[in-house]
Amino acid sequence: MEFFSHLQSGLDGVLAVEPILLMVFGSVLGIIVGAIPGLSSGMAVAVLLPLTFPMAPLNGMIFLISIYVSVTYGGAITAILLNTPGAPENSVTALDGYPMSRQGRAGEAIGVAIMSSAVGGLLSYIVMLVVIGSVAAVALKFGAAEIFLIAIAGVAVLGAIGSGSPAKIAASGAFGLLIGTIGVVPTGEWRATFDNPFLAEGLPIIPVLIGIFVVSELLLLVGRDYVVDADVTVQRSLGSIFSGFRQALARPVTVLRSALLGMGIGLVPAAGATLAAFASYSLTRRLSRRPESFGTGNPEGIVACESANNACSGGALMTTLVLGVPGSVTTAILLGALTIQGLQPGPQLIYEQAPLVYGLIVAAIVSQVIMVSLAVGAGYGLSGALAVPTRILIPCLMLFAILGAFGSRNADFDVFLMLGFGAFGYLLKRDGYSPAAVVMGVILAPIADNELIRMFQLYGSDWYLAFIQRPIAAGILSLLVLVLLHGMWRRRRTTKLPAIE
Amino acid sequence: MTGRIAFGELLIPVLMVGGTAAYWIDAGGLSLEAKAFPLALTAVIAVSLAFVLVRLLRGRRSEEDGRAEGADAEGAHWPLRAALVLGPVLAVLLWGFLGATLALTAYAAATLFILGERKPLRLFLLPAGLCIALVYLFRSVLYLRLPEGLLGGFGLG
Repeated sequence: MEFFSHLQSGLDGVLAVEPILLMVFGSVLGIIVGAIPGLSSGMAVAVLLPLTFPMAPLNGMIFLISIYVSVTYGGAITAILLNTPGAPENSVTALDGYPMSRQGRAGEAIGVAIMSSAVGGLLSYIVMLVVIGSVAAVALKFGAAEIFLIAIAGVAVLGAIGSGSPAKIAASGAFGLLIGTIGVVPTGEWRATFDNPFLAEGLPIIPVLIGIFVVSELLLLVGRDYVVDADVTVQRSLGSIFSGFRQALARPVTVLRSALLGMGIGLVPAAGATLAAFASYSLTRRLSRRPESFGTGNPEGIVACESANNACSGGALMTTLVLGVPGSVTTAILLGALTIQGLQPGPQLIYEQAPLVYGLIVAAIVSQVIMVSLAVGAGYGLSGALAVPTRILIPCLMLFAILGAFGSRNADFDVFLMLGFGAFGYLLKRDGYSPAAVVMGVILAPIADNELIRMFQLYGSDWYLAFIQRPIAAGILSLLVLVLLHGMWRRRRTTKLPAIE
Repeated sequence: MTGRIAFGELLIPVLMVGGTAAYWIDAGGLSLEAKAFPLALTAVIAVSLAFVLVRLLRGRRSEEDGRAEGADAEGAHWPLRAALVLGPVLAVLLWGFLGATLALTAYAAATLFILGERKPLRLFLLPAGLCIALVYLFRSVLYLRLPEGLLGGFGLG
């Protein structure tokens, strides 16, 4: 009964004019951003996050969620039409989508991608709606040791599963965690603030996010005339897009399997949609009767990755809301948004702010429906005119970044901090380090640090025994070690994945 | 045994070591409870960077150490990148005097120019229009108080 009353409160919060308008607006922005290569979901959410400050918490989160879930739709369109994924999680979509486009089946490919994403996302959020209460009940049993381990896992997993040098990722993550501890400690001491009042509450997350996600990307774009070096006009029709819908629905096993896999991967802190897409594609190809057809225009390839990458968002959001640990880098930004709204993610949030949590999930479900219609329009109407001159894109986004960074506290210091992290993020990317690990570290450091200090206070000199004597903590620690060992073993073999965003 | 290391490849390790050192200059006098986690992290940073440096010295580079797409052309573009970062610094330092709209418009126009835009109308209209629209948006939606400077009296600062 409690579930139905929570669901009702969620529906009441979402089915009103303002939230629906925000969902439509957010979805449009998300599809546009997703369709422009070089602009990731993290970037979109980071740039637009300041606009949510004056909004009511639920409306602000609805707006950001709509952007978050719709970016992959837009990214699939450019992956198919231009062989240039709009977002990293759409990289695999291009493997079969672009060949289909070249075979004159662009509309069909777009239809397959849209329907697979919609079904994967719907399944993921419906499951989330049903189980989040139970997961929160389990999470309530988590103590300081468990939360500390999960926070560390959020950074450590990046090293195990991401591409790039493990040593560089470890250094990036540890450095992010270190600078994330700047500020006033629970013991009352000021740590590494240099008596700067702007650092008393720690590194402000908005300038760090905008710097690393937006400014560093813009610095990478310098020297290129266009973001996309193509001018392609592709023939497609509404009929072919709907034909693609039928093709996706004719593969229910693949859709379901990919959605479940995506959701499961999304539950792992920091795993992200890119991993989900690759894992699902690899599995589907391995299980297919015609594996050699993958990469030549097999719609099943699109079904596998699009269903998984969108389903991943539900799992990632659940981890973020229930555990307070980001399930992906983009949900790390959503975590920051919740904190700015004065809300503390964690199992308590599910009980204390049930209308908000269930409203958010309902909004994500409703957004899937809105996005299908918008994406059909975008897929039909979008031409090769995505060649945005960088000399226009860069100053536009820099202005957004400056105002967004300044807007969080009306402090010039935040703009300078953003620029500093922008330059730092650019250097990290240039030299094969992991900006994502730095961001995760900055966000997770206060959680990990506070819980560790709590452990000292609770257990004294035997604090380390909590990791072994508490069954859940021991289980998490074992899993973490297994994931790290598996990552090391995998590196000794072959698999290379693109960088996790 | 040794390989040549480009200066750029040492930049991040130097920044990380420098940042860590700066951290401990201020945090060195804290209680053990407050230092425990940062100490552990410093150890991880030290060990990780040691691995990185050893690989660099041995000249072992693999795809894993790869650089971002487009990074190799950076040598020719570092002045542009520096301008992109330093430009806003100047704009923010001056906007208390010039006003946010004027300072940001000048910054945007200068950025357009150094990135290659040469059409006079675009150089003026695009930055001005964008700045006015964005400042208005942030003021009306976020109630952001931006410095008004010289144009404050016209409501455009």
